Amino acid sequence: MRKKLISVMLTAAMTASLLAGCGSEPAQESQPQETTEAAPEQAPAQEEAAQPEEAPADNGELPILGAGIYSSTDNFNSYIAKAITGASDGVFQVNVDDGQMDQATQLNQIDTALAKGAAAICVSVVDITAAPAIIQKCQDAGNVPIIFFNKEITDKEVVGSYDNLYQVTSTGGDYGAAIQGQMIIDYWEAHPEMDKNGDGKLQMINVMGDPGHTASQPRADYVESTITDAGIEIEVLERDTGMWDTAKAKEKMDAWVSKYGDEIEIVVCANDAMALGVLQSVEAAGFNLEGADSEQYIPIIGIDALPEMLEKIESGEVIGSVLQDASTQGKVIVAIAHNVSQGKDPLDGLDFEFDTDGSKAVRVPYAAITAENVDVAAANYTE
Amino acid sequence: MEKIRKALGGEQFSLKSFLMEKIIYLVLLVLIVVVICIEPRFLSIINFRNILAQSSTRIIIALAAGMVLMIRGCDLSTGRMIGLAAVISASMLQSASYAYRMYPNLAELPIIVPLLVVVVICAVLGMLSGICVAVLKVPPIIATLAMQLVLYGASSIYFDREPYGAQPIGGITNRITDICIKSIKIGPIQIPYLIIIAAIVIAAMWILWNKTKFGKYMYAIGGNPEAAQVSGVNVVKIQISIYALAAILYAFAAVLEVGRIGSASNTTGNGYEMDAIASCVVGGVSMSGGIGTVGGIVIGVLIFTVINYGLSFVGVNMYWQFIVKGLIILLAVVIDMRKYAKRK
Repeated sequence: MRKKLISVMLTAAMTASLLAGCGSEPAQESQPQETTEAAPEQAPAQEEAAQPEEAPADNGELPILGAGIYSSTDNFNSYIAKAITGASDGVFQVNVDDGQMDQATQLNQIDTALAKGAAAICVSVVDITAAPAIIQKCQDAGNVPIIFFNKEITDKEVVGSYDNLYQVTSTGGDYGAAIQGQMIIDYWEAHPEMDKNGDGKLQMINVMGDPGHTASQPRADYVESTITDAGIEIEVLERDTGMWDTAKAKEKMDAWVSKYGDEIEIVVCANDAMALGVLQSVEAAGFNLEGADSEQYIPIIGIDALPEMLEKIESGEVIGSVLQDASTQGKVIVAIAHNVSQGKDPLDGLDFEFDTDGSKAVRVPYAAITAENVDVAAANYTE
Repeated sequence: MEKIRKALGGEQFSLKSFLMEKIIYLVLLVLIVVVICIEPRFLSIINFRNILAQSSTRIIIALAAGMVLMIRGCDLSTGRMIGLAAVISASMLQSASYAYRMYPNLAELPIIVPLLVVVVICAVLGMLSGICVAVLKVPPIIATLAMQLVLYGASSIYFDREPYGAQPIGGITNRITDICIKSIKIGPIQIPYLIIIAAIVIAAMWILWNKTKFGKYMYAIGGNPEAAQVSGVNVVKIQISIYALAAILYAFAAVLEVGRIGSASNTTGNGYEMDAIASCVVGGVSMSGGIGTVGGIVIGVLIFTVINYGLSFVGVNMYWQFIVKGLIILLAVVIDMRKYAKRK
C-alpha cells in the first residue's frame, strides 16, 4: 500500500517537474536541478535490489561518511547536519540524508551508504528501536563503525551488542530543561520583583512542544521539578502545546495575555520558535517593549538559542535561552568516525570522555545563554 | 407555532429547515456562549479583536482555497506555497540592523518589491497547477500533491543554506510587522490593520464571485463543467486563472504571515491547506463544487478561530482540544450534507 502511494506520488512529482522544466520561467530556475538531485535519493526506496550498481567510491580519494538525520524539519537536526558537513571538509565525503521521519526510508539510505563503501555511519535514528537493524547492517558490511547522535539508544543491551558503536548526544534526559529551570531559579533570586503578587509562588505558563515528540514531556516536567526541588512553589496557570510553532504559540498566548495579563510571572517555552511567538503576543499587549526596563514585564525563556532569540536576549525582551551545541556535536561525531576508521582511539585528540553508564556516549553539555554570554551562542553561527 | 408559520407567510416554512439553513451561524453562536459561560472574562473587546485578527490571514487563504473547491478542484499545495512565499519574502524583508541576515548586503527594500516577487513566482506556479488540471486532466488532488512536494523541496533548499543554515529567518523589518500587529484608532476602538486588509479582500472577493462574469463562470463550471463548456465558457482558461489567482492570494497572505509571526522557516504554512479546506467545508462549500458563498467561508474560518482561541482561553486539556475540533467539523459537515441532500 505504502509503496503504491510512493510510486503514485513519485510519478506525479516527476510529471510536475517535467512540466516545470518545459514551461519554466526564470523565476524557478532551481527546479530542474532539484529533480535530478531528488531522483537518485528517492529511487532506492523503490528498488533496493538495484543498489550495488553504483560502484564503490572510485572517484574520490576521501573515504565516505554515511550520515543521516531523522528529519530536516527538525531545526537542531538540520543544524547538526550542517555541522557534520562542515567538520567533514577534507576528511570525508559526505552527503547528509534526510530520513523524512520514516524508518524504512532511513534504512534504505543506510543500505545505499554501505553499498557505496562508507567508512563509517552516523545517524540520528527515526525510531530508536530500529537500532538493532542498523547495527546488523553495519556488522554485515564488515564491522563498519556506527555513531548514533541526537536520539540516544537507551537499551544498554543493544549498545553493548556491537563493539564499533558510539553515541554523541546532549547531556541528560531532561533535554536542557534542568538548565532552563536553574536559569529561572537564578532569575527569581536576583529579581525579587518577579513575584508580582508577592505570594511567594511562581505563576507559570508552560508552553510545551508537540506532544508526540520525545523531548516535549520531559522538558515540561523537568523545568517544573527543577524549580520545585529548589523550594520554590509553582502555580501552573496554563500548560498547553504550541506544537513547536511560532504562529501557534503566539495565538495561544494572545488568549492567555488577555486572560491573565500581569498575573503571569514566567512563560516557559520548550523551544525558541515558540518563545518568539509568545514575545510577539506579549508585546502586542504592551508588555516587554522597553526590554528588561519595561514598566510591565513578563519574563519569557526558551531553548535553542536561535540567532533571532539572541538579539531578544541582548535587548532584554526575553530573559534567556539554552544552547544545544550542534557545532561541537558535529565536530565530535566526525572526529570519532575519523579516529575509528583510522584504527585510533575513538576520542583521540578530543576533550571529551565517554559516559561511564555503559551508554558509550559522549555528552556535550547544554549551556545557559543570558545577556552576559550571548557571544558564546553567537560563535555557533559565525564560525 | 402555527401562528409563527402563518406570520412568516409561507406554507413552505418550517423551523427545521430554517435552522438547517442557518445552522452554521448557530454553531458559532453556541460556541461563543459556551465559552462565555465557562469563562465570563472571555466577553471582552480584546478577545474578539484577537479572534478577528487571528482570522484575517486565514480568511484570505480560505477564500483562495474555496475558489479552487468551487470549480471541483482541490488545492493541497496551499500550505507549502505559503511556505515558499514566506521564506522568499522574509529573506528580503530583514531589517538592515539584524545581525543574521540572509543577504547581508541587500538594502532594505520597499515592501512592495518582495510582495511583487512572490506574487509573480506564485502566480506562475499556480498556473502550472492549473495547466496540469485543466489541460493535462491530472486529477487536482494529484497535481497539487505533486506541487506540494516540489514546493517544499524548493523552499527547503532556499531556506537551508549558508551562511546561517536552517534557522528561522528572523529580524523582519518593522515596516511590515507594524502593519500586521498594530492597529488604527477609529472612534473609541482600536482596529488592527490586518482586519481592515482582510475586510478589503473579502469585499473584493464578494464582488468577484457575485458581480462579475468570472464569478458566474466559476459557479457554472463548478455546477456542471460540460454545460458550461457547451454554453461558451472557456473552461480551461477560467480553471487556470482560478489556480493562479488562488496562488496570488497565497503569496499575499504569506507576506502578511511573515509580518504577523515575525519570522519564516520551511515549516511556515505547514498544514494550512487542511485548515483552509476544513473552514470552507464547515462554511458550506460543497466538495463537489458549485456551491458556496464568501460569507459562509468567512464564518467557517471564524468558527475555527473561536474554537482554537476559546479552548485555549478556557484552558481545555490539549488532547481534548483536538477531539473537540474533530467533532465540531464532523457535526457541521453532517448537518450541512443533510441540508443539500434534502435539496436534491
